[in-house]
Amino acid sequence: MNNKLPISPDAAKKRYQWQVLIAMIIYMVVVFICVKLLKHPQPAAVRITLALLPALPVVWVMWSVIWYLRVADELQRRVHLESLSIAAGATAFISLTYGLLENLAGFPMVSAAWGFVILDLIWGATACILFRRYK
Amino acid sequence: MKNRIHVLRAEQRWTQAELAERLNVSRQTINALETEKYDPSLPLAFGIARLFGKPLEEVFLYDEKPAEGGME
Repeated sequence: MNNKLPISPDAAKKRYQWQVLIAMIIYMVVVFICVKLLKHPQPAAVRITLALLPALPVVWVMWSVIWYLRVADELQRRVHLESLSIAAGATAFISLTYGLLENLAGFPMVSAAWGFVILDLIWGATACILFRRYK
Repeated sequence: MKNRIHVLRAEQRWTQAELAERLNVSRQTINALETEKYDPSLPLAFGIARLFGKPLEEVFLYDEKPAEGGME
C-alpha cells in the first residue's frame, strides 16, 4: 500500500488502457503509411527511418506499461507480472519452436515483429483469465 | 485467511469504492479481499486495520487453509 500515489489505481488502469489503445492506433496508421511509402524507391537512410518509425508508438506503450506497473495496487501488479511472465515464456517457446521448423523443416520465414504481437495477445488473454480468479 | 472487512465496511456505511479510495487500492482489490480470494500484503493489512481502528487480529483471522498466494 502506498498513500503517496498521485492517482488512484482504478484511474491509473483507465489511463493506461487509453494510452495503449491510442498508441496501438497510431502504430497501425504509421505502419500503413510506411508500407505505402516503402513500395516506392527510397534512399537507404529514408528506408531505414521509415522502417523504424512504427517502433516509436511501441516505445510509448512500453513507457505506459512501466508507469502502470508502478502506480498499480498490489493485486493488479501481481496479476500483470504473473501474466507477463507466462506470456514471455510462451512467446519464447513459440519463437523457438517455429524457428526450428523454419530452419530444419523448411517452414516459411515469418517476420520477427510477430513476436511483439504474440506476446501482447497472450499477456492480455492471460491477464483477463487471472483477473477472473479474483472476482 | 479469513477477514471481517465486509462487516467493518458495512458498519462504516462505506461502499467498496469509498474503502478502495481510502486505502488507495482498486475496487477490484477490495472485492477480492472481502471474498477472501486474495490475502493482502502486511503493509496493506496494517493499513486496513488502522483505518477501522482495530488491532490486526480483529480484522484478519488466521485460517489453516491458505488463500491464493498464501503460505503452504
